[in-house]
Amino acid sequence: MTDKNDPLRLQTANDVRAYQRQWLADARSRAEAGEPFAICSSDEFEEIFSLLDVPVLVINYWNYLTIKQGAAKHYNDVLEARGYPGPHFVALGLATAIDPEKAPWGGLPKPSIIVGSTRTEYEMRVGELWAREMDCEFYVMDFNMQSPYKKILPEGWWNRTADDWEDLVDADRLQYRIEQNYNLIAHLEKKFGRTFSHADFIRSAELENEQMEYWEKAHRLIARNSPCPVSLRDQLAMYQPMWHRGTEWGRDIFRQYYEEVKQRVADGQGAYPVEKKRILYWSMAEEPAFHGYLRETYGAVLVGNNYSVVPRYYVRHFDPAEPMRAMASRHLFLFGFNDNLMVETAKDHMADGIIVIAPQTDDIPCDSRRMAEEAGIPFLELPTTRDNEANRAAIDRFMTERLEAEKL
Amino acid sequence: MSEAWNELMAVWRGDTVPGREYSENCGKVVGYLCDNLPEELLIAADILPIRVRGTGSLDLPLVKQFLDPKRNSRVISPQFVPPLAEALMGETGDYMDRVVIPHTRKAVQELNGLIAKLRRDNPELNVPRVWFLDRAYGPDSAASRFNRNQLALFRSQVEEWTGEKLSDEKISAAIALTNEARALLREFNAWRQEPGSPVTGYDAVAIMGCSMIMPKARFVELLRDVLANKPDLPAQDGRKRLFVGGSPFDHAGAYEVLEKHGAVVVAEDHCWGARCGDFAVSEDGDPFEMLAMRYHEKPACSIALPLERTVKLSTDRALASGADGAVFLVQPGDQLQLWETPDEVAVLEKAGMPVLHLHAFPYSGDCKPEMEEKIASFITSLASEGRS
Ligand code: SF4
Ligand code: SF4
Repeated sequence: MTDKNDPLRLQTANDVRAYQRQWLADARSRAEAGEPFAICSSDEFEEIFSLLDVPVLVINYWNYLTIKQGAAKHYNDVLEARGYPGPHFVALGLATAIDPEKAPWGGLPKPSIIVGSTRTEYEMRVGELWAREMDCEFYVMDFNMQSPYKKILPEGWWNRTADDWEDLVDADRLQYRIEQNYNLIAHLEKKFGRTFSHADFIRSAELENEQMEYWEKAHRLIARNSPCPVSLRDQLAMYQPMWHRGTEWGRDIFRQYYEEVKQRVADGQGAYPVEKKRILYWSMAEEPAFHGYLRETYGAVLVGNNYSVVPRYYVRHFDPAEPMRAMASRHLFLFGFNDNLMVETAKDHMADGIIVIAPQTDDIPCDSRRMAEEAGIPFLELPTTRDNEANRAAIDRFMTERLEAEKL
Repeated sequence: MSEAWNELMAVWRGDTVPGREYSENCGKVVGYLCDNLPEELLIAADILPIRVRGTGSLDLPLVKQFLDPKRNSRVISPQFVPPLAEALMGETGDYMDRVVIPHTRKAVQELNGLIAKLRRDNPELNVPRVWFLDRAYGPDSAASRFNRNQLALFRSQVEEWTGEKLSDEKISAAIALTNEARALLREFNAWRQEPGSPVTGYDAVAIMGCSMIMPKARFVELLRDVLANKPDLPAQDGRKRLFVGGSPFDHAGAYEVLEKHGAVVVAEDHCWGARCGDFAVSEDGDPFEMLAMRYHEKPACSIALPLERTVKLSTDRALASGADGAVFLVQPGDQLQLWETPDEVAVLEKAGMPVLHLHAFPYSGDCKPEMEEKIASFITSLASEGRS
């Protein structure tokens, strides 16, 4: 697909890409000019940094840019040479600090602070090593959305995040996280000589809710309309403004997104030239390379993935007296994925089948498969996202035997 | 041979299972994972705390049957964790009234949700109910308050289990007992490290491990006896003295591999080894507050901040032990250790200690011939300092 000339491509997705390119360039030049610049874990402190007017680079996003640059292999070798063998997504940033030459931007300018998390204990260590390598401050936040909960989540939690968030997190952890958040804010105010405004914080939390509500409305249209109005690729491109949550631009771009999708639906305009079968791609991995094969051979299109259901979980209705409480609750619990949610999402997307990426172990009972099949939705596991012989063979079998699809 | 020594070894080998005996005599047994449980609160309530350990084997039929590794990849990842799940689903969990899971590594914490699900879906497994003992990693005062509050919750839970309030006197007595055990363990560790000591690494890990899997009072009695009447065992002279760092081993398989090749393990830094003698509880002041202080100050797992603190605690142990060399055994999937070990290796090498760093050393100790070859030649290459 060539971007600009592709009529099926969403204008908003192109705008997002352009904005993000410009934002990165600006952030870089500001940092190089000696302005404060921060690195932090995703979904934790972006809003606060924006409020303090400190450009913030999200760790996962940087790692992803490094991969896009084609440098993942090189950087895994760099880590290996330091005594850290294995493929390490979470540590690519550290690797780019050790050897900046092949990194995006030719390496990062020195950050003022890296805010790491204990999502996994090794992420904490990696953040620490990275800060050491870049000779900057490391600040760690404890308890976050991947901390295993004391409370076991109730079924149907996915309908309760906007209003009943208090019920989904542990009360004492929430209290502690609020305290940590305020401590970090006080620290940043001092460090950067800036002032955190409560009024602005409330405004930012409202903007963030509006942004997510537009996103969710757009996604409702995507799920409920055939032909599917937005390709998986463009759906994924819309994830980037997540790093600008709580800003005017963040809200406006999603309003634009919603309007554009609505128009497409009104025009009966699909994102794919042919749509004979709809598949839910229940994965957090990138758009799979086999999508091309699915489309071209069977006219089967991926209509959504795990991220499709995520926007609404960011929405947190809050008491204006206590916006931090809502934010801290989101730091502690953003979303999970379970089999019932998968089945519900597949039905909601009018999917004919589900594809997941998981190594196959036939001798192990498979809950997801059982639940999908019980709901009458054919289910396929593929070991990788590759477009190779083995995957094609499995896809052929699945499409012809289970979905009764015909080759185009 | 001393009877006390034999009794301890029998417990370690599993020939006798004090937890089961206690439970059969109608006592309450609470299992726990990891090495930072304020067991004093249980002891004070006449509950027997037993640390859960794996069998040393990677043949895990129950895990295979009940835990889908793809969906539970975080639990499955460090190799020492699935054997804990296996133990809880099998004979060990069977005699426990409850199990306490502390906030150490995420993989261990994940067992909380997993066990809840196992209990719901497979009641026939008889997996004990879990109490999650939370803890913040951070070093600041907010974290310390949080940790104290968690301990207070745990205390009320213990009181609920027995139906009786815990008195300060009982907690103080329990603290005195565990402190005595710690002091004896340090004394034992010093004896183990004396030149020509007869204590092998296997023996050491067995005795130290027993401190966590049998009634504390009995353990103290036995270890006191062992130290007073040192058993007549062959001196380990002529062997190369090793420090073992890396992942935890809740059985002695790894040590047996090293010792088979002419080494003796004189020190280690993992949570089933000499760390169990550290961090005495202060006996001055309110006993509960003193326990809370220890709970906060002792790093969860070895996860101290900053990294330098973890590295120092570990390498100081190695350097003080008079080891001729250090071996770091990092188990597959042990992501935490992966990022710490290179720093530890660097410190030791700088101090002139030869180091062998093995990635993907199996939990079972059952390593491939190439790996064993490496171990053997490393041990042979060590200059023995002529200690005898
Ligand atoms: S084996 Fe079953 S439960 Fe596991 S990932 Fe595959 S579909 Fe899901
Ligand atoms: S290494 Fe840490 S997580 Fe593992 S058993 Fe020991 S204390 Fe627990």
